[in-house]
Amino acid sequence: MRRSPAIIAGIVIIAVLLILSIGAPYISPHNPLQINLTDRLLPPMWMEGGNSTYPLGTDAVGRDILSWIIWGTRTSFLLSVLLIFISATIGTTLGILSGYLGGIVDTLIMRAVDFFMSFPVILLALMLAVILGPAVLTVSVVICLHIWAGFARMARGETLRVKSSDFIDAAKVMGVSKFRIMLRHIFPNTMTPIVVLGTLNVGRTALFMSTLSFLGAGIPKAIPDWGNMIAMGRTYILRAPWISIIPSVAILVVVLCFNMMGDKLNEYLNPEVRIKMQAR
Amino acid sequence: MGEPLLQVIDLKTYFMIGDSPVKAVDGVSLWVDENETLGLVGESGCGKSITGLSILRLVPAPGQIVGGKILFKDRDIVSMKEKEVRKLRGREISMILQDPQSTLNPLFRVENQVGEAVAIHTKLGKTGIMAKVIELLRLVRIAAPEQRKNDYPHQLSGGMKQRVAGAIAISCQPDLLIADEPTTSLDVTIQLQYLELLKDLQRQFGMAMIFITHDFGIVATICDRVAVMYAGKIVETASTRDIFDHPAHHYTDALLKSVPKLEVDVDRLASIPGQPPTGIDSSFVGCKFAPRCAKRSNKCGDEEPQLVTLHNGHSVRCWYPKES
Repeated sequence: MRRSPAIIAGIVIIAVLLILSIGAPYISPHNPLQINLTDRLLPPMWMEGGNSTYPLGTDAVGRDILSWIIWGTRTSFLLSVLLIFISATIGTTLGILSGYLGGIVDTLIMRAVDFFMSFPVILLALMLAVILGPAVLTVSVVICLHIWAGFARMARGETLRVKSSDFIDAAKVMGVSKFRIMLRHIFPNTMTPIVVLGTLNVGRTALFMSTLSFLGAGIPKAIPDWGNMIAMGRTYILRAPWISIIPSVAILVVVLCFNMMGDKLNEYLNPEVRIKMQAR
Repeated sequence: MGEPLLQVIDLKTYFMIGDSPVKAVDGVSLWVDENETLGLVGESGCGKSITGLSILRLVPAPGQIVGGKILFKDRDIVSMKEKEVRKLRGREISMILQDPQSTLNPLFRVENQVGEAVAIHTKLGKTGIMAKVIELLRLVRIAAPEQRKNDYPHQLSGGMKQRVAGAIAISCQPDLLIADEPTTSLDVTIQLQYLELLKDLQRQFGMAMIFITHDFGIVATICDRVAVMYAGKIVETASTRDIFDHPAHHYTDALLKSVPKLEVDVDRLASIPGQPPTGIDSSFVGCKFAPRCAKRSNKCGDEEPQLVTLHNGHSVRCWYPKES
C-alpha cells in the first residue's frame, strides 16, 4: 500500500491543489482578473511567441492563465470537494435511515430521491440562475440537490444488504439501540461504495460546474473558475486553443487523481485487504 | 425452589403471510429454572429458533407474537415497552447465534466489539472497559488476549470467533443465555471444547441456559432437561435421562434412532420419512406428526392430542405414547 505510486501521486497532487487554493493570493504571479490588452492571446511560454511573464499564456483580454488556474482551484477543487462532502453526508444519512427504518420513512425518502434524480437539473439551474442571478451559493445548492440522491440510493442499498447480516442481529440481541446500530454497525459497512461514489463525483461535479459556467448559469464570470475559462476559450478555440485546453487538463488531473485515490481508499477501508497489503 | 427464572406460557408467534398466518410457534409453554440448562430440540423449521428470538422479542418481520406470556423474573416480556426489553437484552438475557463467521462486524477489532457490549450496559470508563474486555477474553479461553484483542474477525478461526461471540454474550453476566446452535458450524473437537466452556461459564456465573440444537449428542453433554419441538409445538418434555431412556413420543423415538451409535453396526441409519409440515395448511386438525408416524391410527388424524403429564416432569403430546 505504501509503495503504490498511484496513491503517492494522488496524495501529492491533492496536497499541491490544497496549498494552491489556500495560498492563491501569495502564489499566483498576477491578479487573475487583471486585464492587460497589450498582452492578449499570448501562448504558453514553451510555444513560439510565449514569454516567461505568463508561463501558461493569456486569454482574450490578456489575463494570466496560470493565475486563473491557481485561483480556480478554490471553486473547481475546494468547492467541489466540499459540496460532495455535504451531499454525501446528507445522502448517506437519509439513505441509512430509509433502508434501516423502512416503512413510511423509506417511502418518503425514496420518493424524494426519485424526484431529484428525475428532475432535469440543468433546467433547475437555469431557473435559479434567472431568479437569483448566477452566484456561488446558487450553484452549490443546485449541485447538492443534484447529487445527494445518488448517495442516498447507494446508502440505502448497502444498508439493506448489511441489515440482514448476523452481526446486526447479534447487536440487537445485546440490546444495542437502533440509532447506535445505524451509526456503529451499518454506517461503517456502507463506507466503501460511498467513498468510491464520492471520488467519482468529484469529477462529475467539476464537469457539471463547468457545464453550468458554460451555459452562464454557473459560477459568476468575475470569479476565476476553470469552467469559466473553458467557456470563454471556446470562441478562440482555433486561434488560441490553450485557453480551453489548459483548464481542461487541470480538470482531468483532478478527476483522475480522485478516481485513483478512490480505488486505493476502497482497499484501505477493508481491514482484510489492508492487513494483507501491510504483510506483503 | 419457588418460581422458575423464565416461564413461557402458551406462546404464539405467527408469520403474517397472505390470508392465513404461518404458525411458527403455536402455543409453546416451557420453563427454565435458575442454573438449569434446557435443550430445545427439533428439526429445521420446527420453530425452535423463533421461540428463542421471541423470548428476546426480536422476531423478524412479518412475524409477531400474537399470544401468550413470557414471564422473566415475574415480568412479562410480551407486554413490556421496547425500551425495557432493550435493557433486558444482553444484560439479563443474552444470546449466541449460530454462525460465528458472520456474527462479528468485519470492520471492528475484537476489543471494540466486546467493549461495545460492556459500554452499553455498564458505566465503566475507557480503561475499565479494556480491562473487562481482557478479562472476558481470558474467561472464554482465548490465548494471549492482550494481542488477540487487536485482531479483526477475519484473522480469527471459527472456534475463536464463536468464543468471542460467547465473551460478548456473557459480558454482563446474564441470568439466562440462549444459545442457538452455537456449535453447528464448528468441527467436532472444537464443539466439545466449546460445550465444556459454556458449562464452566454457567457454573461460574450461575446462568440458566436454553440450548437450541438438533444434535442429541450435544443434549446428552450439556442439558439437564429437554423439550422436543415439532411443527411449532412442544411434543415431549422430560429430564435428559428420561428422554434418552424412555422416549414417549414416537417423534422423539425416531429422532433418537436416527442418531448413529458407535456400539451398534448398522448398514443404513434409520430416518423419518417425509418432511415436517410447513404450517400453512391450517385445516389439518390431527396430530401434526401423524402423517409421518409409524404408529398412527385413525384417532391421530382426527383430533390433536394435548400435552399430558405421564409422571414426574415427563409430558408428552401423543394419543398412544410409547411404553417402556
